[in-house]
Amino acid sequence: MKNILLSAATLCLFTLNISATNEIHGSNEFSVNYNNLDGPSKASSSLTQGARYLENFNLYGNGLKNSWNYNYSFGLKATDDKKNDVKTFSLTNLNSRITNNIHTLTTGDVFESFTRYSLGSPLKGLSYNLSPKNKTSLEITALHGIAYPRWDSFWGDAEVKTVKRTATGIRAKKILTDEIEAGFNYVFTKDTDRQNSSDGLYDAKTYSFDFEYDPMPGLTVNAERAQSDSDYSSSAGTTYSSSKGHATRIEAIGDGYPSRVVMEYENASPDFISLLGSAVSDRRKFKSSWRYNYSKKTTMNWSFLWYRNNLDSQLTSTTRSWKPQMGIAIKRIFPKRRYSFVDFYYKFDRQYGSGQSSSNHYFTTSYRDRFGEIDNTTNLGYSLYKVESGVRKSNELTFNISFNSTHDLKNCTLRPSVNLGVWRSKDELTFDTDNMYDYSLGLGMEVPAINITSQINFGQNILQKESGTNSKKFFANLSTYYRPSAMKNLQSTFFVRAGFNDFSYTTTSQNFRETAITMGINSEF
Amino acid sequence: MKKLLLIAITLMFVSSGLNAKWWIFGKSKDPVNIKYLYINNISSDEAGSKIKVFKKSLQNQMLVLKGKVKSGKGEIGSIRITLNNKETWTDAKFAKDGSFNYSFKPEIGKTYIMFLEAMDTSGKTNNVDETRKEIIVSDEDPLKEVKKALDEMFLAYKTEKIKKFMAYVSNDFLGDSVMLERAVRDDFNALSNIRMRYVINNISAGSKGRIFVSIKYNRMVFVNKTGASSTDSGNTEMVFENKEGKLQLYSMKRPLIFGLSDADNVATGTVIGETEELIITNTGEVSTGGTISNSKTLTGSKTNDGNDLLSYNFSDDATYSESGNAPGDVTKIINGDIAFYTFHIISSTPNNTKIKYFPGKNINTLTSAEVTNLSGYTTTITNPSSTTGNTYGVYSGGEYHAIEIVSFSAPFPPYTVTFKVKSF
Repeated sequence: MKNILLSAATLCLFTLNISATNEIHGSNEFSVNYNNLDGPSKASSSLTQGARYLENFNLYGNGLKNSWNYNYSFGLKATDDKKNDVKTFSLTNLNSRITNNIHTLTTGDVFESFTRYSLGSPLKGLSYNLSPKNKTSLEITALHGIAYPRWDSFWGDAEVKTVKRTATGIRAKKILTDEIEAGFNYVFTKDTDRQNSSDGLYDAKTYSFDFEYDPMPGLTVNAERAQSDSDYSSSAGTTYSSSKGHATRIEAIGDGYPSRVVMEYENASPDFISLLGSAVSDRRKFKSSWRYNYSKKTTMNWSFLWYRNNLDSQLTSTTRSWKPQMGIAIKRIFPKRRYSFVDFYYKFDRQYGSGQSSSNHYFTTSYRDRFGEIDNTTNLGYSLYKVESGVRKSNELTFNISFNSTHDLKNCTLRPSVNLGVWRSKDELTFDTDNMYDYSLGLGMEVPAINITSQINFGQNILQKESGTNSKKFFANLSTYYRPSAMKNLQSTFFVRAGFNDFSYTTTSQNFRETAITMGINSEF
Repeated sequence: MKKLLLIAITLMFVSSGLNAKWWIFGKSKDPVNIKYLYINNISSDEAGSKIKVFKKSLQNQMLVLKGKVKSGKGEIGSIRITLNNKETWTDAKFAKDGSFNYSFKPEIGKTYIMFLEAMDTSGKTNNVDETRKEIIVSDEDPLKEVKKALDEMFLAYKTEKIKKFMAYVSNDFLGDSVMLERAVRDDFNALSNIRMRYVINNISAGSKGRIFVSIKYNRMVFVNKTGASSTDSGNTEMVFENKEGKLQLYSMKRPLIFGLSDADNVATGTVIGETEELIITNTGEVSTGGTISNSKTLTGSKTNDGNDLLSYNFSDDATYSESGNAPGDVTKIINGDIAFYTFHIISSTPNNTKIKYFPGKNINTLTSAEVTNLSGYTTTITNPSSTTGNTYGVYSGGEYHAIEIVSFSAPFPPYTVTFKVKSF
């Protein structure tokens, strides 16, 4: 921990001082927020009663010394609203990087992406990358650090402390031919500092081999094979149990007008563990998609996804899923209507096994057009849900229509908008039909001469349930941004945001209201 | 493994031997083609038709294009690049093997329309129109770009605009963009009046143009099925990648803020230390499940009867020591939902509890979909209930829970059992 902070800070100071030609930029946003909560169920609100502040400061710089480029950044946050952050003061980022395009050293927040299965998470530590000028030479990246979710985890108290996951990794990549490049990756992680007796701890190693092959222009084949070797202790006092797993992924992408075709196969065993990479264990998956531009106006899409679990027969039964979908989008469907556009999609979800069976159908269509000065978008959706046996059988209809326009007046631009929506759900098990209606009106305004932009919206949402509690929610929001010319050098923007929400139910003990006002200033230099 | 290698090798040989781009249905291959092109170290293939380059990432304030072109038979004779939509062209320096390097000092905020033309010594060229890229150089820092992308995604999710939301999801989204699109659509059918806000905890820009962000979120939703509101907050992590001239979502961890209807498939991993989350079940209802408790230890006080039971009640977190007559005598459990007895874990008949053993799973890897599927649930599970690490699903009082045995002192009383609980 001390070493990481020391090296990050040293490199930051070093990069600040090595040259007088460096550039420094910063941004700061300070806001004060006042929330008033009212009504018998005001505890349901996600806001905090009273006045609170939030401060964000970021500084970053870069420069050049001899053949070395460097940059650095750090950010600080302060707030007294526990719903924003449990800590009053916190460090949001700390990073420095120095490179001569062959050697690159990064400290602080280090985010190297090796491969999908090996490493794709950031660490707080350091990394070194060697990229020889000769692109066919071996490129090496090595790193070491701790995968804490935030900097406070190093020095903070229990509320920000987590298991300490220390990681060390290396990636070696080589371009073998014009068509093939391959890489080897190794990541070792060790968990310590259990915070709760129920915290599970891992010691895990992941080895992976990956390659990319471009046999011809537009066709790329990439693949990865990974092995994991892990020990796991589920809680304090329990001994470590070992497991080994493997994962394989092959993907072929063909991309050339008029088509783009993607085929992917993946197999991750139940015991495959990737703590800093990404994998869904116990999964065999096949996916294909085809986008075909039939003409300049018409595009068609097909895709198919299939997956299953229980690969080692370790479960009592297997669940299989498949999800095909198809769609078509047509620009200028009416030749005389320049802005007319329509699309239609059908999607199907099927899942069965382990004593359950579900089949859901989704139909969606939308139409866009411009009538005079008014833009219109209309969406219609119909979903059929069926989960056997007797778990769910319902159909849902959604419809919404919106109108927007822009009017340039002498000194300002106005952007009025109207949205109307209906949602209808029919439950065929309980025979209940629920309806929801919503509307909203909005008006945007820009006054370029005095650098003001503003937006006001209000609307209502009404839920009518055949059984249960009906409710109405009214909302109104106003936001205004002002960029004074006198503070052009600082690029400062003052902003005010105000919101009012009223939630009322047929059971009045559930009612509550929220009034929130936020004022602040955002500056950049 | 052998089969997979065989498939991969076969695919490589077969595809390299093809004379046509099979995926475009018979179009012939170009005589001159681009092997690769990197724009400021971003692969042009991966970035899409628009590329946003951050000023911060420029080398000596220069934007660098590196690539390689190859001719079918002859040598490369010239490589030209235009940055203003074919109005003017500039020659690029290239080596004999077709690799080239071109750099220029970009104007910040300007959009460059780039094409690349490579000609071999016989006068044949590549398909120039296919090389079109829009390059935008932004002076905004990645933090501001992440905030912009997050704000747009939050707004699209809150206003239930699926197309606007998916415009910020990468085709390469690790949890699969098809699954996320359907999960978000199901979220919109299940929820209304979504109110969410976030504050950034940690941000890190990394290789391949990807940016990691950790956020604290607060959320309130209305559940259409029940008409009730639900509130939660937590810390989650996401990764964005630079694609199509903007940042797009590349991966998300649990607890999720989008795609709650299919958390098992949409998320890749769980944030360290975060154990609580909101999910939408396959009936369209919200479950505030996923809280893993500290280990609970039950100790029996009755030691004189080998048929004593240790029972536990999920709703009030209470433990009881009760008298049973036999392992199968579940009617004797009066107070608890489940009971531990010698080599058995049994369910309470009065409370209509059901249990299921999940071999090979622990409390972290057991998914909500597995626990909430009632198939295979039973009333009594005999040996190996006493084995450390065994994990069970429990259905009681209309709610689902998972328990993992940490230790069990069976077979002889007084029993002591320690286990973890996760509620769904």
